[in-house]
Amino acid sequence: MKLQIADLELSYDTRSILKGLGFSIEPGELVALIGPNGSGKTTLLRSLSGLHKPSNGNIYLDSQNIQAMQPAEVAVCLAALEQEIHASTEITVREAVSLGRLPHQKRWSSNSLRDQEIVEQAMQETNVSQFADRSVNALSSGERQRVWLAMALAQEPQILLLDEPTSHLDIKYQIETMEILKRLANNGLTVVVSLHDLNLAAHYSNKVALLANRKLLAFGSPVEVLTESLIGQAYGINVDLIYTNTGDYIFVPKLNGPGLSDAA
Amino acid sequence: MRRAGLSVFFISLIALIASIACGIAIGPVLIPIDETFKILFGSFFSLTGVDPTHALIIDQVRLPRVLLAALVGFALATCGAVMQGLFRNPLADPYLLGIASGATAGAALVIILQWDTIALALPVGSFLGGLLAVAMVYQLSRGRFGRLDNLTLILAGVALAALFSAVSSFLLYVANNDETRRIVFWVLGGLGGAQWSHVKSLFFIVLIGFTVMLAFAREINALILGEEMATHLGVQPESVKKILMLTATLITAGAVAFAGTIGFIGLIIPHAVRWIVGPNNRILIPVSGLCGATLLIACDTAARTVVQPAEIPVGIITALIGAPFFLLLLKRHRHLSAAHWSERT
Repeated sequence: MKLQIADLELSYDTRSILKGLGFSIEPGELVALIGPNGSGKTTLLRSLSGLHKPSNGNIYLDSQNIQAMQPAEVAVCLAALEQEIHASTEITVREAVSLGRLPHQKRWSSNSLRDQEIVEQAMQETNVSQFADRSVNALSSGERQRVWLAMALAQEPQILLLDEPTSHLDIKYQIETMEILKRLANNGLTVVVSLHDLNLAAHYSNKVALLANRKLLAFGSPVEVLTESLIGQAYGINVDLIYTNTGDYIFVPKLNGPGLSDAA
Repeated sequence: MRRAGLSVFFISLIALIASIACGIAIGPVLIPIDETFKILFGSFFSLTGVDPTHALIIDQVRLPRVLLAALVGFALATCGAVMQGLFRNPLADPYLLGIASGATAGAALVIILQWDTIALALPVGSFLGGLLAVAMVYQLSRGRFGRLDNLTLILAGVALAALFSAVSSFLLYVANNDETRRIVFWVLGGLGGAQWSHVKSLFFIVLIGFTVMLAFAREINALILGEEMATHLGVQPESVKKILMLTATLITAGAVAFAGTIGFIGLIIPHAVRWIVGPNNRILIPVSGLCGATLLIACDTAARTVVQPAEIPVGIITALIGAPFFLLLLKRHRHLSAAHWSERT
């Protein structure tokens, strides 16, 4: 499913957050949303899922304007995960993932065999089947993140929006999460994910959207957007790009004070 | 479905039927169980060996009273389950949110104005009182972006409950003897005034309310993850809350109109049931209802038998059981509640 925004303006009350946003995301693309704290990444994701009403402009899922859709209509084709999700009561992993089937179920119907299959499959996909009967609250944050991802997959979405899914994870879980997202995108899912880690964005995304100074500073392939000058401009720091012998490149901020070799 | 919800459902159903039978048989006049069944299902048995006085006691006194207790217990427990789910708060129940106090004040006002000779004036009065309370609580606790703030909600509920209790106390103060007696009945709570007409009215109120609650059980399930996540799952939290708060007010007011204020059932039953069947509201709500009905029948049977021939208001017994349980709950949830309440809703 194609996700398109045109001349979007987002604000809280009268305070403008982002202005003049426009881009188009094709099916199967993994788009990294980057930008400094407070640049509006979360607000943009909230509006893309229909939660935050734009003060101007439109958001289209294929040809449908999201503002004309009910939450129930959006939920059958688009899944979104907040940055932090809390279960207010003890709930098992399988019960949590099953909640993802809700948009597809009729009011009085219960979990059908097909629903159960999809739930089991989603748990396998994100590697949480082994704790299916454990309480979500008892898991580590990395494991829990994968449970919410499984729930989103159980929605059978065509578009997946994630707000900083790697922010509380150690480096292994960060890579694992991004590998799962990459695999899903390769299978045709449109993924938009906000990230703080420029190196994850550089390695895994097809396109990067860089937000800064209340606008979309750049949108394009990682090579076009993740440049020393654009990143320096967006974050107000100096960075070096270092090319690795595997063909990747990584960002290294230029820090003040002595480095490790000096200290040694 | 955790721990085979259906089997728990049937066990609770059997427990309810057993408690109804015991509640009918036990009293100042003990009626043997076999005779009780003969009287209840008279057309299926021969009526030989049945004392006509016993038949009269069962038909006119015990059966309506036990059935009313069942309906009131069912109403309060299902309301509690729904409110706890709706507000993601283990302490939410029809009393804490001021509904019952509002309903009591409404009933007291109807008595003082001597409107209670008009048919249905009492239930309508208590419904309007409860609705007023809940509307005020709702308005007071709407925070940023028009969302309900759950901590404010509970605090506003407590404050308004106090306000409406003060109104009831004032009405009690200005009432004459006969009115005082009837208002005290509401304040203390009791099932002594049970009549068949009450049973019938409350049955329909509970039936409608229960159907609505069950219809929205899956939305309440989604709310476990918070209102924004529920929206991502296709739920509209604000309208779900409005519909369910109105429904809960309706059946709480119905229960209060016929039995006065009976506390703690709506708080403790859903909790205990959640420990056993898990958080799925499709199972939690009906099982809570059945267990609430069973518990209130048991409490009422105790209330009218322990100090024979006098009768203790049943609200005292539910409070005696409920308050220690509530404290236990506070202790258990102390570490959890801080996390819930500091959370942005």
